[in-house]
Amino acid sequence: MPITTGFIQRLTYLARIVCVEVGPDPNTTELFFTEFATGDAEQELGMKKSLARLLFEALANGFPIRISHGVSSAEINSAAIGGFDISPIGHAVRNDAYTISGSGIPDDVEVVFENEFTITTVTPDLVRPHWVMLAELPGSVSTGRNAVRLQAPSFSSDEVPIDVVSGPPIRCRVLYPGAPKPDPYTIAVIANPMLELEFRNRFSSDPIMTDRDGFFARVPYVLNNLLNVTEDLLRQDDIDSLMRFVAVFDGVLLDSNDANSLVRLNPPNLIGPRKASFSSFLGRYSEKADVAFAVSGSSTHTRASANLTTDDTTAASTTYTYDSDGFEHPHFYDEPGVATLSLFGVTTGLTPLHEFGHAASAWPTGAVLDLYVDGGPTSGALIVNEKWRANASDSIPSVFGTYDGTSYNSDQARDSLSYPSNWRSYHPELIDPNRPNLMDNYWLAPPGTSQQCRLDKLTYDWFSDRLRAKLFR
Amino acid sequence: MAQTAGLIQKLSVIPLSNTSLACFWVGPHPTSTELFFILRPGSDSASFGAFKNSMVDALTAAYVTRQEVTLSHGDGSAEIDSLRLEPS
Repeated sequence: MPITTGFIQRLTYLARIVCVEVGPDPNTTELFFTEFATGDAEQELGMKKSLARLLFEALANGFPIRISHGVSSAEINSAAIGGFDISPIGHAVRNDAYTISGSGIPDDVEVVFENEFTITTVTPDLVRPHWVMLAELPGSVSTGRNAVRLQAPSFSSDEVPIDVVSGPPIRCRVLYPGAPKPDPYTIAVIANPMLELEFRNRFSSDPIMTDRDGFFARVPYVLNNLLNVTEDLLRQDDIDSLMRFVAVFDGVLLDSNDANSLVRLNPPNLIGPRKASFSSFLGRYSEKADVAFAVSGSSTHTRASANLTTDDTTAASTTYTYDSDGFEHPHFYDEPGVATLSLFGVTTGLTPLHEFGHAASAWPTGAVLDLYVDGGPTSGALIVNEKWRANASDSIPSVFGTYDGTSYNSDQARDSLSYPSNWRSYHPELIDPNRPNLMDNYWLAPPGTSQQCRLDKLTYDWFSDRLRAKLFR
Repeated sequence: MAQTAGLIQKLSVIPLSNTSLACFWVGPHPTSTELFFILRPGSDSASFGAFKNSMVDALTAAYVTRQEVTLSHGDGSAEIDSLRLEPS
Protein backbone atom coordinates (compact mmCIF):
# COMPACT_ATOMS: atom_id res chain seq x y z
CA MET A 1 0.00 0.00 0.00
CA PRO A 2 1.57 3.32 -1.07
CA ILE A 3 2.49 5.88 1.54
CA THR A 4 2.83 9.56 0.78
CA THR A 5 4.64 11.80 3.22
CA GLY A 6 4.69 15.56 3.28
CA PHE A 7 3.30 18.76 4.69
CA ILE A 8 -0.37 19.60 4.39
CA GLN A 9 -0.61 22.73 2.29
CA ARG A 10 -4.39 23.05 2.35
CA LEU A 11 -7.30 21.43 4.19
CA THR A 12 -10.77 21.72 2.70
CA TYR A 13 -14.17 20.61 4.02
CA LEU A 14 -16.57 20.28 1.10
CA ALA A 15 -19.78 18.27 0.61
CA ARG A 16 -19.07 15.45 3.14
CA ILE A 17 -15.47 15.25 1.98
CA VAL A 18 -12.35 16.40 3.81
CA CYS A 19 -9.51 17.02 1.37
CA VAL A 20 -5.85 17.62 2.04
CA GLU A 21 -3.23 18.77 -0.41
CA VAL A 22 0.12 17.30 0.55
CA GLY A 23 3.48 18.37 -0.80
CA PRO A 24 6.61 20.40 -0.23
CA ASP A 25 4.98 23.70 -1.24
CA PRO A 26 1.50 24.98 -2.21
CA ASN A 27 2.22 24.58 -5.90
CA THR A 28 3.47 21.01 -5.70
CA THR A 29 0.88 18.87 -4.01
CA GLU A 30 -1.09 15.69 -4.24
CA LEU A 31 -4.74 15.60 -3.23
CA PHE A 32 -6.06 13.05 -0.74
CA PHE A 33 -9.47 12.80 0.88
CA THR A 34 -11.71 11.02 3.32
CA GLU A 35 -15.44 10.89 2.74
CA PHE A 36 -18.13 10.80 5.39
CA ALA A 37 -20.33 8.52 3.28
CA THR A 38 -24.00 7.80 4.00
CA GLY A 39 -23.31 4.07 4.11
CA ASP A 40 -20.44 4.29 6.60
CA ALA A 41 -20.79 2.53 9.93
CA GLU A 42 -21.13 4.77 12.96
CA GLN A 43 -17.73 3.68 14.30
CA GLU A 44 -16.05 4.40 10.97
CA LEU A 45 -17.59 7.89 10.88
CA GLY A 46 -16.29 8.48 14.39
CA MET A 47 -12.75 7.52 13.44
CA LYS A 48 -12.94 9.58 10.25
CA LYS A 49 -13.82 12.52 12.46
CA SER A 50 -10.68 11.82 14.50
CA LEU A 51 -8.74 11.46 11.26
CA ALA A 52 -9.93 14.93 10.21
CA ARG A 53 -8.82 16.26 13.60
CA LEU A 54 -5.40 14.69 13.06
CA LEU A 55 -5.13 16.30 9.62
CA PHE A 56 -6.05 19.67 11.10
CA GLU A 57 -3.47 19.37 13.92
CA ALA A 58 -0.78 18.38 11.41
CA LEU A 59 -1.61 21.44 9.34
CA ALA A 60 -1.90 23.82 12.26
CA ASN A 61 1.29 22.71 13.95
CA GLY A 62 3.47 22.13 10.89
CA PHE A 63 3.94 18.39 11.27
CA PRO A 64 4.59 16.28 8.19
CA ILE A 65 1.93 13.65 7.67
CA ARG A 66 2.17 10.10 6.34
CA ILE A 67 -0.89 9.09 4.37
CA SER A 68 -1.55 5.52 3.38
CA HIS A 69 -3.79 5.11 0.34
CA GLY A 70 -4.65 2.68 -2.46
CA VAL A 71 -2.34 2.17 -5.44
CA SER A 72 -4.49 4.25 -7.74
CA SER A 73 -6.68 5.87 -5.17
CA ALA A 74 -6.51 9.22 -3.35
CA GLU A 75 -8.80 8.02 -0.55
CA ILE A 76 -6.99 8.01 2.78
CA ASN A 77 -6.78 4.61 4.43
CA SER A 78 -4.82 5.84 7.42
CA ALA A 79 -2.77 8.83 8.48
CA ALA A 80 0.07 9.18 10.97
CA ILE A 81 2.16 11.95 12.47
CA GLY A 82 5.31 11.78 14.56
CA GLY A 83 8.07 9.25 14.44
CA PHE A 84 10.85 11.83 14.62
CA ASP A 85 14.16 10.66 16.10
CA ILE A 86 14.13 13.38 18.75
CA SER A 87 11.35 14.51 21.04
CA PRO A 88 11.05 18.04 22.43
CA ILE A 89 9.67 17.89 25.97
CA GLY A 90 7.05 20.39 27.06
CA HIS A 91 6.33 23.88 25.82
CA ALA A 92 9.12 25.93 24.26
CA VAL A 93 9.18 29.14 26.29
CA ARG A 94 11.84 31.79 25.70
CA ASN A 95 14.11 32.35 28.70
CA ASP A 96 12.80 29.16 30.34
CA ALA A 97 14.53 25.79 30.55
CA TYR A 98 14.09 23.48 27.58
CA THR A 99 14.87 19.81 27.04
CA ILE A 100 14.88 17.37 24.14
CA SER A 101 15.10 13.58 24.30
CA GLY A 102 16.59 11.26 21.72
CA SER A 103 19.07 8.43 21.57
CA GLY A 104 22.79 8.14 20.92
CA ILE A 105 23.28 11.87 21.47
CA PRO A 106 27.02 12.71 21.47
CA ASP A 107 28.70 14.96 24.03
CA ASP A 108 29.52 17.62 21.43
CA VAL A 109 25.94 18.08 20.28
CA GLU A 110 24.40 21.48 19.65
CA VAL A 111 20.75 22.49 19.55
CA VAL A 112 19.71 24.41 16.45
CA PHE A 113 16.54 26.51 16.24
CA GLU A 114 15.66 27.68 12.77
CA ASN A 115 12.88 29.62 11.10
CA GLU A 116 12.68 31.65 7.95
CA PHE A 117 14.38 34.61 9.62
CA THR A 118 16.94 33.30 12.09
CA ILE A 119 19.14 30.36 12.96
CA THR A 120 20.18 30.10 16.60
CA THR A 121 22.68 27.49 17.69
CA VAL A 122 22.98 26.71 21.39
CA THR A 123 25.40 24.49 23.31
CA PRO A 124 23.39 22.46 25.83
CA ASP A 125 24.08 22.80 29.54
CA LEU A 126 23.59 19.08 30.08
CA VAL A 127 24.12 16.23 27.64
CA ARG A 128 23.21 12.62 28.22
CA PRO A 129 22.93 10.03 25.45
CA HIS A 130 19.14 10.19 25.74
CA TRP A 131 18.47 13.87 26.48
CA VAL A 132 19.87 17.38 26.48
CA MET A 133 18.99 20.41 28.56
CA LEU A 134 19.20 24.11 27.91
CA ALA A 135 19.12 26.08 31.14
CA GLU A 136 17.46 28.79 29.11
CA LEU A 137 15.91 28.81 25.67
CA PRO A 138 17.62 31.93 24.29
CA GLY A 139 15.68 35.12 23.77
CA SER A 140 17.27 35.29 20.34
CA VAL A 141 15.07 32.42 19.16
CA SER A 142 12.12 33.92 17.34
CA THR A 143 8.68 33.35 18.77
CA GLY A 144 6.31 31.38 16.61
CA ARG A 145 7.02 28.40 14.43
CA ASN A 146 10.58 27.08 14.48
CA ALA A 147 12.24 23.83 13.55
CA VAL A 148 14.54 22.37 16.20
CA ARG A 149 17.24 19.78 15.58
CA LEU A 150 20.33 18.36 17.22
CA GLN A 151 23.59 18.40 15.33
CA ALA A 152 27.21 17.40 15.89
CA PRO A 153 30.06 16.60 13.51
CA SER A 154 29.02 12.94 13.55
CA PHE A 155 25.35 13.28 14.39
CA SER A 156 22.29 14.87 12.90
CA SER A 157 18.69 14.52 13.98
CA ASP A 158 15.38 15.12 12.31
CA GLU A 159 13.97 18.64 12.31
CA VAL A 160 10.93 18.86 14.55
CA PRO A 161 8.43 21.73 14.39
CA ILE A 162 7.89 23.63 17.63
CA ASP A 163 6.02 26.76 18.53
CA VAL A 164 8.15 29.09 20.64
CA VAL A 165 6.30 31.45 22.97
CA SER A 166 7.54 34.36 25.05
CA GLY A 167 5.87 33.21 28.26
CA PRO A 168 4.69 32.50 30.81
CA PRO A 169 7.40 30.20 32.16
CA ILE A 170 6.41 26.70 33.23
CA ARG A 171 6.05 26.34 37.01
CA CYS A 172 6.88 22.64 37.12
CA ARG A 173 8.93 21.55 34.15
CA VAL A 174 9.42 17.90 33.34
CA LEU A 175 13.02 17.80 32.19
CA TYR A 176 12.99 14.12 31.27
CA PRO A 177 9.97 11.86 31.78
CA GLY A 178 11.77 8.64 32.75
CA ALA A 179 10.41 5.13 32.51
CA PRO A 180 6.88 5.06 31.05
CA LYS A 181 5.07 4.19 34.24
CA PRO A 182 3.21 6.16 36.91
CA ASP A 183 5.95 5.92 39.53
CA PRO A 184 9.35 6.20 37.85
CA TYR A 185 12.31 6.87 40.13
CA THR A 186 12.21 10.65 40.29
CA ILE A 187 14.69 13.35 41.20
CA ALA A 188 13.30 16.85 41.69
CA VAL A 189 15.14 20.16 41.92
CA ILE A 190 13.02 22.89 43.52
CA ALA A 191 13.48 26.62 44.03
CA ASN A 192 12.61 27.05 47.72
CA PRO A 193 9.80 29.60 48.04
CA MET A 194 10.02 30.38 51.74
CA LEU A 195 12.72 30.19 54.39
CA GLU A 196 11.90 29.18 57.93
CA LEU A 197 14.02 31.47 60.06
CA GLU A 198 16.15 30.31 62.94
CA PHE A 199 13.35 31.43 65.25
CA ARG A 200 10.86 28.67 64.54
CA ASN A 201 7.58 29.27 62.72
CA ARG A 202 8.66 32.57 61.24
CA PHE A 203 8.97 32.64 57.50
CA SER A 204 10.33 34.98 54.89
CA SER A 205 10.62 34.80 51.14
CA ASP A 206 13.69 32.97 49.87
CA PRO A 207 15.78 35.36 47.74
CA ILE A 208 16.01 32.70 45.05
CA MET A 209 12.43 33.52 44.11
CA THR A 210 13.70 36.73 42.51
CA ASP A 211 16.36 34.87 40.51
CA ARG A 212 14.71 32.43 38.17
CA ASP A 213 17.69 32.61 35.79
CA GLY A 214 20.07 31.78 38.62
CA PHE A 215 17.97 28.81 39.65
CA PHE A 216 17.85 27.37 36.16
CA ALA A 217 21.58 27.93 35.75
CA ARG A 218 22.03 25.88 38.91
CA VAL A 219 19.80 22.98 37.76
CA PRO A 220 22.19 21.67 35.07
CA TYR A 221 25.06 22.03 37.56
CA VAL A 222 23.16 19.75 39.94
CA LEU A 223 22.30 17.26 37.21
CA ASN A 224 25.81 17.26 35.73
CA ASN A 225 27.13 16.57 39.22
CA LEU A 226 24.78 13.61 39.55
CA LEU A 227 25.23 12.25 36.05
CA ASN A 228 28.47 13.40 34.43
CA VAL A 229 31.29 13.40 36.99
CA THR A 230 33.72 10.49 37.37
CA GLU A 231 31.51 8.62 39.83
CA ASP A 232 29.05 6.78 37.59
CA LEU A 233 26.63 5.50 40.23
CA LEU A 234 23.60 7.11 38.61
CA ARG A 235 24.57 6.67 34.98
CA GLN A 236 26.04 3.14 34.96
CA ASP A 237 24.47 1.16 32.11
CA ASP A 238 22.49 4.34 31.32
CA ILE A 239 20.13 3.60 34.22
CA ASP A 240 19.38 7.31 34.34
CA SER A 241 17.34 6.79 31.16
CA LEU A 242 14.74 5.25 33.50
CA MET A 243 14.81 8.18 35.92
CA ARG A 244 12.44 11.11 35.82
CA PHE A 245 13.82 14.60 36.38
CA VAL A 246 11.68 17.63 37.18
CA ALA A 247 12.43 21.22 38.12
CA VAL A 248 10.04 23.51 40.00
CA PHE A 249 10.16 27.29 40.10
CA ASP A 250 6.79 28.62 41.12
CA GLY A 251 6.93 32.39 41.25
CA VAL A 252 3.35 32.77 42.46
CA LEU A 253 3.88 31.10 45.86
CA LEU A 254 3.99 34.26 47.93
CA ASP A 255 2.33 33.12 51.15
CA SER A 256 4.72 33.04 54.10
CA ASN A 257 3.53 29.77 55.49
CA ASP A 258 4.69 26.35 56.47
CA ALA A 259 3.52 24.67 53.25
CA ASN A 260 5.71 26.90 51.08
CA SER A 261 8.88 26.38 53.09
CA LEU A 262 11.28 23.58 52.26
CA VAL A 263 14.36 25.06 53.95
CA ARG A 264 15.05 25.97 57.55
CA LEU A 265 17.95 28.24 58.48
CA ASN A 266 20.01 26.60 61.21
CA PRO A 267 22.94 28.18 63.05
CA PRO A 268 25.58 28.99 62.18
CA ASN A 269 25.09 28.82 58.41
CA LEU A 270 23.28 25.57 57.63
CA ILE A 271 20.32 25.30 55.25
CA GLY A 272 18.36 22.35 56.56
CA PRO A 273 15.68 20.51 54.59
CA ARG A 274 12.17 20.55 56.05
CA LYS A 275 11.58 16.96 55.08
CA ALA A 276 7.91 16.73 55.98
CA SER A 277 6.97 19.51 53.53
CA PHE A 278 8.43 18.10 50.32
CA SER A 279 5.81 15.48 49.38
CA SER A 280 2.83 17.76 49.79
CA PHE A 281 4.67 20.57 48.00
CA LEU A 282 5.39 18.41 44.97
CA GLY A 283 1.88 16.98 45.09
CA ARG A 284 0.53 20.38 44.03
CA TYR A 285 2.11 19.70 40.66
CA SER A 286 1.04 16.04 40.60
CA GLU A 287 4.68 15.07 41.09
CA LYS A 288 6.38 12.68 43.50
CA ALA A 289 10.10 12.39 44.06
CA ASP A 290 12.34 9.75 45.54
CA VAL A 291 14.97 12.41 46.12
CA ALA A 292 14.34 16.15 46.09
CA PHE A 293 16.76 19.06 46.24
CA ALA A 294 15.63 22.46 47.49
CA VAL A 295 17.84 25.29 46.26
CA SER A 296 18.02 28.37 48.46
CA GLY A 297 19.25 31.87 47.71
CA SER A 298 19.99 32.75 51.32
CA SER A 299 23.13 34.84 51.46
CA THR A 300 23.76 34.17 55.16
CA HIS A 301 23.18 30.42 55.25
CA THR A 302 24.83 28.51 52.45
CA ARG A 303 25.95 25.14 53.81
CA ALA A 304 24.12 22.24 52.16
CA SER A 305 22.67 19.34 54.12
CA ALA A 306 20.48 16.29 53.66
CA ASN A 307 17.91 14.14 55.39
CA LEU A 308 17.74 10.46 54.54
CA THR A 309 14.83 8.68 52.88
CA THR A 310 12.22 7.03 55.05
CA ASP A 311 11.54 3.77 53.26
CA ASP A 312 8.16 2.11 53.04
CA THR A 313 8.98 -1.20 54.70
CA THR A 314 5.45 -2.55 54.24
CA ALA A 315 5.52 -2.62 50.43
CA ALA A 316 7.53 -4.70 47.94
CA SER A 317 11.27 -5.03 48.49
CA THR A 318 14.39 -6.86 47.34
CA THR A 319 16.22 -8.87 49.97
CA TYR A 320 19.98 -8.95 50.57
CA THR A 321 22.46 -9.89 53.22
CA TYR A 322 24.91 -7.58 54.94
CA ASP A 323 27.47 -9.55 56.92
CA SER A 324 25.37 -12.37 58.34
CA ASP A 325 22.08 -10.48 58.63
CA GLY A 326 19.18 -10.23 56.21
CA PHE A 327 17.97 -6.81 55.01
CA GLU A 328 15.73 -5.38 52.30
CA HIS A 329 15.93 -2.72 49.61
CA PRO A 330 12.37 -1.30 49.82
CA HIS A 331 10.97 -0.33 46.42
CA PHE A 332 8.95 2.62 47.70
CA TYR A 333 9.27 5.34 50.31
CA ASP A 334 7.13 6.89 53.00
CA GLU A 335 9.00 10.18 52.81
CA PRO A 336 11.51 11.14 50.13
CA GLY A 337 15.16 11.72 50.73
CA VAL A 338 15.74 15.46 50.70
CA ALA A 339 18.68 17.81 50.48
CA THR A 340 19.35 21.51 50.33
CA LEU A 341 21.77 23.33 48.06
CA SER A 342 22.87 26.93 48.02
CA LEU A 343 22.52 29.08 44.94
CA PHE A 344 26.00 30.33 45.81
CA GLY A 345 27.69 26.98 46.45
CA VAL A 346 31.07 26.39 44.86
CA THR A 347 30.61 24.38 41.69
CA THR A 348 33.99 22.66 41.51
CA GLY A 349 33.15 20.02 44.10
CA LEU A 350 30.65 17.23 44.53
CA THR A 351 28.11 18.76 46.86
CA PRO A 352 24.96 17.64 44.96
CA LEU A 353 26.21 14.07 44.51
CA HIS A 354 27.48 13.91 48.10
CA GLU A 355 24.12 15.08 49.44
CA PHE A 356 22.38 12.66 47.10
CA GLY A 357 24.49 9.93 48.69
CA HIS A 358 22.88 10.75 52.01
CA ALA A 359 19.38 11.55 50.81
CA ALA A 360 18.97 8.47 48.61
CA SER A 361 20.07 6.21 51.43
CA ALA A 362 17.63 5.50 54.22
CA TRP A 363 17.25 5.67 57.92
CA PRO A 364 17.22 3.18 59.56
CA THR A 365 17.10 0.71 56.66
CA GLY A 366 20.47 1.56 55.13
CA ALA A 367 22.28 4.80 55.85
CA VAL A 368 25.25 6.29 54.01
CA LEU A 369 27.00 8.69 56.38
CA ASP A 370 29.70 11.34 56.27
CA LEU A 371 33.15 9.81 56.55
CA TYR A 372 34.91 13.01 57.58
CA VAL A 373 33.61 12.67 61.12
CA ASP A 374 34.23 9.79 63.50
CA GLY A 375 30.64 9.42 64.68
CA GLY A 376 29.67 6.25 66.41
CA PRO A 377 27.58 3.13 66.00
CA THR A 378 23.79 3.45 66.28
CA SER A 379 21.78 0.51 67.47
CA GLY A 380 18.78 -0.41 65.32
CA ALA A 381 20.11 1.19 62.13
CA LEU A 382 22.17 -0.28 59.30
CA ILE A 383 25.16 1.94 58.54
CA VAL A 384 26.44 0.86 55.15
CA ASN A 385 29.72 2.70 54.72
CA GLU A 386 31.26 2.92 58.17
CA LYS A 387 32.09 0.66 61.10
CA TRP A 388 33.73 1.26 64.42
CA ARG A 389 36.48 -0.48 66.37
CA ALA A 390 36.13 -1.04 70.13
CA ASN A 391 39.19 1.16 70.72
CA ALA A 392 40.99 3.64 68.49
CA SER A 393 44.22 1.72 69.10
CA ASP A 394 42.78 -1.52 67.68
CA SER A 395 44.02 -2.44 64.24
CA ILE A 396 41.64 -2.02 61.31
CA PRO A 397 40.25 -5.42 60.23
CA SER A 398 41.45 -6.48 56.80
CA VAL A 399 37.91 -7.40 55.78
CA PHE A 400 35.34 -4.64 56.20
CA GLY A 401 32.28 -6.76 55.64
CA THR A 402 30.24 -8.94 53.34
CA TYR A 403 27.46 -7.68 51.08
CA ASP A 404 25.24 -10.27 49.42
CA GLY A 405 27.92 -12.93 49.72
CA THR A 406 30.80 -10.81 48.43
CA SER A 407 33.61 -9.89 50.79
CA TYR A 408 34.94 -6.31 50.81
CA ASN A 409 38.24 -5.21 52.31
CA SER A 410 38.68 -2.23 54.60
CA ASP A 411 40.36 1.01 53.59
CA GLN A 412 43.45 0.71 55.76
CA ALA A 413 44.79 4.19 55.05
CA ARG A 414 41.67 6.31 54.43
CA ASP A 415 43.35 6.98 51.06
CA SER A 416 45.79 9.85 51.47
CA LEU A 417 44.01 11.39 54.43
CA SER A 418 44.76 8.72 57.10
CA TYR A 419 42.55 8.09 60.12
CA PRO A 420 43.14 10.48 63.03
CA SER A 421 44.67 8.57 65.92
CA ASN A 422 41.62 9.08 68.13
CA TRP A 423 39.11 7.80 65.57
CA ARG A 424 37.47 4.43 66.03
CA SER A 425 35.71 4.47 62.68
CA TYR A 426 36.99 2.83 59.51
CA HIS A 427 35.69 2.57 55.96
CA PRO A 428 35.40 0.08 53.09
CA GLU A 429 38.08 -0.13 50.40
CA LEU A 430 37.91 2.66 47.83
CA ILE A 431 37.28 2.26 44.11
CA ASP A 432 39.93 4.94 43.52
CA PRO A 433 42.48 4.75 46.35
CA ASN A 434 44.20 7.93 45.22
CA ARG A 435 41.40 10.26 46.18
CA PRO A 436 39.09 10.67 49.18
CA ASN A 437 35.76 8.91 49.26
CA LEU A 438 32.87 10.87 47.75
CA MET A 439 31.28 10.72 51.22
CA ASP A 440 34.52 11.89 52.89
CA ASN A 441 36.14 15.32 52.58
CA TYR A 442 36.50 15.38 48.81
CA TRP A 443 37.82 18.95 49.00
CA LEU A 444 41.12 17.41 50.15
CA ALA A 445 41.62 15.63 46.84
CA PRO A 446 44.57 16.89 44.77
CA PRO A 447 43.80 20.38 43.49
CA GLY A 448 41.29 20.42 40.69
CA THR A 449 40.34 16.77 41.03
CA SER A 450 37.55 16.80 43.61
CA GLN A 451 35.03 15.81 40.98
CA GLN A 452 37.02 12.66 40.29
CA CYS A 453 36.36 11.24 43.78
CA ARG A 454 34.35 8.06 43.93
CA LEU A 455 32.59 5.88 46.44
CA ASP A 456 34.03 2.83 48.15
CA LYS A 457 33.43 -0.54 46.53
CA LEU A 458 30.89 -1.87 49.00
CA THR A 459 28.73 1.25 49.08
CA TYR A 460 28.81 1.47 45.30
CA ASP A 461 27.49 -2.08 44.96
CA TRP A 462 24.93 -1.64 47.73
CA PHE A 463 23.70 1.66 46.24
CA SER A 464 23.57 0.22 42.74
CA ASP A 465 21.29 -2.56 43.94
CA ARG A 466 19.18 -0.14 45.97
CA LEU A 467 18.67 2.11 42.94
CA ARG A 468 17.85 -0.81 40.70
CA ALA A 469 15.31 -2.14 43.19
CA LYS A 470 13.55 1.22 43.00
CA LEU A 471 14.04 1.78 39.26
CA PHE A 472 12.42 -1.53 38.37
CA ARG A 473 9.59 -1.43 40.96
CA MET B 1 -5.48 -2.00 35.79
CA ALA B 2 -1.99 -0.93 34.66
CA GLN B 3 -0.87 2.57 33.87
CA THR B 4 1.74 3.88 31.45
CA ALA B 5 2.89 7.47 31.42
CA GLY B 6 5.02 9.38 28.97
CA LEU B 7 5.21 11.38 25.82
CA ILE B 8 3.45 10.35 22.64
CA GLN B 9 6.14 9.85 20.02
CA LYS B 10 3.96 8.87 17.08
CA LEU B 11 0.30 8.25 16.35
CA SER B 12 -1.73 6.76 13.58
CA VAL B 13 -5.49 6.86 12.85
CA ILE B 14 -6.98 4.08 10.74
CA PRO B 15 -10.71 4.23 9.87
CA LEU B 16 -11.98 0.84 8.72
CA SER B 17 -15.40 -0.49 7.83
CA ASN B 18 -15.57 -3.19 10.53
CA THR B 19 -13.36 -2.01 13.42
CA SER B 20 -11.49 1.25 13.34
CA LEU B 21 -8.21 1.77 15.13
CA ALA B 22 -5.89 4.45 16.45
CA CYS B 23 -2.34 3.60 17.53
CA PHE B 24 -0.08 5.54 19.91
CA TRP B 25 3.61 5.03 20.62
CA VAL B 26 4.40 6.27 24.13
CA GLY B 27 7.77 6.62 25.84
CA PRO B 28 10.45 8.99 27.10
CA HIS B 29 12.26 9.16 23.78
CA PRO B 30 11.63 7.94 20.23
CA THR B 31 13.55 4.68 20.50
CA SER B 32 12.03 3.72 23.84
CA THR B 33 8.30 3.39 23.29
CA GLU B 34 5.41 1.07 23.93
CA LEU B 35 2.52 0.72 21.48
CA PHE B 36 -1.05 1.32 22.67
CA PHE B 37 -4.30 1.49 20.76
CA ILE B 38 -7.92 2.50 20.86
CA LEU B 39 -10.31 0.16 19.05
CA ARG B 40 -13.71 1.16 17.76
CA PRO B 41 -15.67 -2.00 16.95
CA GLY B 42 -19.14 -1.68 15.48
CA SER B 43 -20.57 -3.18 18.65
CA ASP B 44 -19.75 -0.05 20.68
CA SER B 45 -22.72 2.13 21.56
CA ALA B 46 -22.76 5.55 19.93
CA SER B 47 -22.01 7.23 23.23
CA PHE B 48 -19.10 4.93 24.08
CA GLY B 49 -17.75 5.32 20.57
CA ALA B 50 -17.93 9.09 20.82
CA PHE B 51 -16.05 8.88 24.11
CA LYS B 52 -13.32 6.80 22.46
CA ASN B 53 -12.98 9.26 19.59
CA SER B 54 -12.77 12.04 22.11
CA MET B 55 -9.79 10.22 23.65
CA VAL B 56 -8.16 9.91 20.22
CA ASP B 57 -8.59 13.64 19.71
CA ALA B 58 -7.16 14.44 23.15
CA LEU B 59 -4.13 12.26 22.48
CA THR B 60 -3.62 13.95 19.13
CA ALA B 61 -3.65 17.35 20.83
CA ALA B 62 -1.31 16.05 23.55
CA TYR B 63 1.16 14.95 20.90
CA VAL B 64 1.36 18.25 19.07
CA THR B 65 1.63 20.21 22.34
CA ARG B 66 4.23 17.84 23.90
CA GLN B 67 1.99 17.09 26.85
CA GLU B 68 2.65 14.03 28.96
CA VAL B 69 -0.21 11.55 29.18
CA THR B 70 -1.03 8.74 31.56
CA LEU B 71 -2.81 5.83 29.92
CA SER B 72 -4.77 3.19 31.80
CA HIS B 73 -4.98 -0.24 30.26
CA GLY B 74 -5.53 -3.82 31.30
CA ASP B 75 -2.64 -5.82 32.71
CA GLY B 76 -1.02 -7.42 29.70
CA SER B 77 -3.18 -5.39 27.31
CA ALA B 78 -2.25 -2.45 25.11
CA GLU B 79 -5.83 -1.27 24.63
CA ILE B 80 -6.36 2.17 26.21
CA ASP B 81 -9.30 2.26 28.62
CA SER B 82 -8.85 5.75 29.96
CA LEU B 83 -6.33 8.55 30.02
CA ARG B 84 -5.27 11.42 32.22
CA LEU B 85 -3.53 14.71 31.46
CA GLU B 86 -2.19 17.20 33.98
CA PRO B 87 -1.64 20.92 33.49
CA SER B 88 1.89 21.91 32.56
